[in-house]
Amino acid sequence: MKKYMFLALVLIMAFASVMAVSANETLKIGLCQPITGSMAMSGLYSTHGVQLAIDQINEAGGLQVGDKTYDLELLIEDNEGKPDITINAVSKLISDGVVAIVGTNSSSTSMAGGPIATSEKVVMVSTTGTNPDVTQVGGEYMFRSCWIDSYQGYLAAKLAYETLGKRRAAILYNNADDYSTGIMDFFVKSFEEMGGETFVQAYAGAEIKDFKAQITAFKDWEPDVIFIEAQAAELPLPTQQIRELGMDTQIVGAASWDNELLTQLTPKEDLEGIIYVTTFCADSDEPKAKEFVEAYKAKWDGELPMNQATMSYNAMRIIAQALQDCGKVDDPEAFRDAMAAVNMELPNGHFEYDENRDPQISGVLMTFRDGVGVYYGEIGN
Amino acid sequence: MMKIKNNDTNKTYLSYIVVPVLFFVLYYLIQTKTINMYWRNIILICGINGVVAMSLNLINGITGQSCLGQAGFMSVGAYVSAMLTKNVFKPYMTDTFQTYALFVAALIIGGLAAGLIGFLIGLPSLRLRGDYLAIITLGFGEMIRVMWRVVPAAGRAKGINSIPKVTNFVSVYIIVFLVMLIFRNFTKSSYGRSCIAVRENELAGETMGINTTAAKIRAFVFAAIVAGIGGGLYSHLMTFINPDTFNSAKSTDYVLYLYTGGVGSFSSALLGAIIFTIIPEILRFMGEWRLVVYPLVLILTMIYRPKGLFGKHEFGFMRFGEKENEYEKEENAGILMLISKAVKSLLNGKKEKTRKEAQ
Repeated sequence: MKKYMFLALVLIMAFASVMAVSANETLKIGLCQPITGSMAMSGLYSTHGVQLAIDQINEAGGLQVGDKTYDLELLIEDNEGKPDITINAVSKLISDGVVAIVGTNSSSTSMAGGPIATSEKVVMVSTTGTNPDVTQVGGEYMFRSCWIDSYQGYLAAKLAYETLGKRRAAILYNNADDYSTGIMDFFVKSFEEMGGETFVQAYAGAEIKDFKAQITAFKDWEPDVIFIEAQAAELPLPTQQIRELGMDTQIVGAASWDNELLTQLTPKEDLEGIIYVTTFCADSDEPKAKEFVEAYKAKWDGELPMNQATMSYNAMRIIAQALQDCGKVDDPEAFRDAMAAVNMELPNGHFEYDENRDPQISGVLMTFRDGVGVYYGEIGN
Repeated sequence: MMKIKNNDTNKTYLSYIVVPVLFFVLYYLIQTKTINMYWRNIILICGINGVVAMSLNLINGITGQSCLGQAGFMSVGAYVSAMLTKNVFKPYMTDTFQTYALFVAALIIGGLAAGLIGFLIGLPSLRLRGDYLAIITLGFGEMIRVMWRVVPAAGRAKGINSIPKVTNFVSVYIIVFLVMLIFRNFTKSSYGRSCIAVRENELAGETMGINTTAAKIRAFVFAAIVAGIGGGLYSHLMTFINPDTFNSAKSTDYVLYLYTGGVGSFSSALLGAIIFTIIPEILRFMGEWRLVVYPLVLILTMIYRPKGLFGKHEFGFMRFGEKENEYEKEENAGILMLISKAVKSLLNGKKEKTRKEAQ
């Protein structure tokens, strides 16, 4: 017993001495993402993105804020993808003294955590909480690094109507999921305004495995394009079943399709040719983007940065930039104003917030070739 | 004179003192921010979970029916009261008094709406019992959840957000205490005793002239009202609810709180809810492993304490201050009993040891 105590003591001493080497003060950054549960993959990618940004900052000698230099320390709390757990996780991070929180990945959890962050004056940056209400409900300390559903839905509709020239769109969505429901609404609205016809079928929950009834209905209606958008884990099965039932209609989607999970779970031939609109394409030629992709691949064993990882990396970069701009770490109001005024270049282009704390991000089209998402084209406003 | 004195010694007033003392201690710690926001939130959630677990005890523990749809009742209270405060009452919530008066009104209306649903679910319980009833309640709970998903006024899948945050420590503490008192008085009344009769032997109860049908429906409605009030507190604490918050896993949580605490006792239901709400938060330092350790704790609890951690013990004020006699203590056999037994045997063992050594 004594031996182990001694060993533990030695370890603690060694650890403490390592900590003491760096002269910089540490600044805590919180990450609140689903580390477990059905959305755990998003949490993993998000951790990768944020960790890369933090390591880059620390390796460059720390973050210069005012006349002090800080090392960043990442505190991760799991929200299990549930709103009620998010409240606990966000409260815990704030109690642990973080200056800002990165997260969460979904709109419902962001809307649960945002009001707390605002009431405690801690900046929170949702990575992929795309519902327009997120920053409205969350309050003035709630930001996001992604675009909003109304814009995403519009871009997807534009992709189907203008880029591909389709006129009859069938839509499959999850009526238990606010993200899927929201984007369906915006897609239908935009597509009909452009002059197309729509046909909507719902399924009830992430646990649904059989979509044959909805697909058969699609078959009778004879669409020339199918729009599916839900959480990434729910996309492989309907895609496979659409092809199984002999429909070779063009499928289009939005940012959820930009997830490695899909390429792992869906046969290559079923994915072939599906086009989706997302925020960032790893084979972009922009120098800033290339630099980011190289760094990311080197850090995480050749993994390609997708939407979630990029948005999380961006969120961390935006926070760091705003801290530098405001020049102090103990003035939440100045920090918030610096966040709102942030104006910088990120891997996916120029970044600025509008008056609703929503960024204007341009979209990029990607498609699957041989089971890998590749660049397809640009899509403008 | 002598007689009164005797009566006094037969009663325990400890819990009558503990309740206000605990209130002021916690209130003081929260006001001075010694308990930070994170733990304050957890204390509030403990209280709310306690209210719902106690309401479940009325059905499962006192009336002996099985209900797996408590989250469904809770969601009715949560949604109805949230819609009321957000859409109707908000402009009138100007000062503290009006805010809380309207909040209480919203809670009560939400509770009554849940009671109505409880009545509907109580009806099939006349014909079914045991597993079959459990399935029906499970189905009803899911039905309510899916209903919120398609009602546009309830925000569909997005749920309701920006609910005024009016649930605070004082309101939760008072409601937990009131709910306990009401349940105590109900259980001791003829209505409550008829519920117990249904649990013990329905046929015998009927023979004795008890309207078992009415007793069962009463239990369901009453439990639903209280669960609805718990839901109202929940939505005004979270400020955000969506249908998936109240899924069947949530109902299972309440069954878990009740059975690990000790079915049949309101105090145990409350303590079970408190302990098993706190444990996952304490285990947070383990990261992903906490979801492995937490069920392990549950399994061990059920293996070693099948009666629940606290058995059928009630707090003193829940027994009207009457002391438990030796027989009741043995029969209820909570974890405290076990600990005191272990301590006693340890002390006795030491005594015997010293005696032997002396010899």
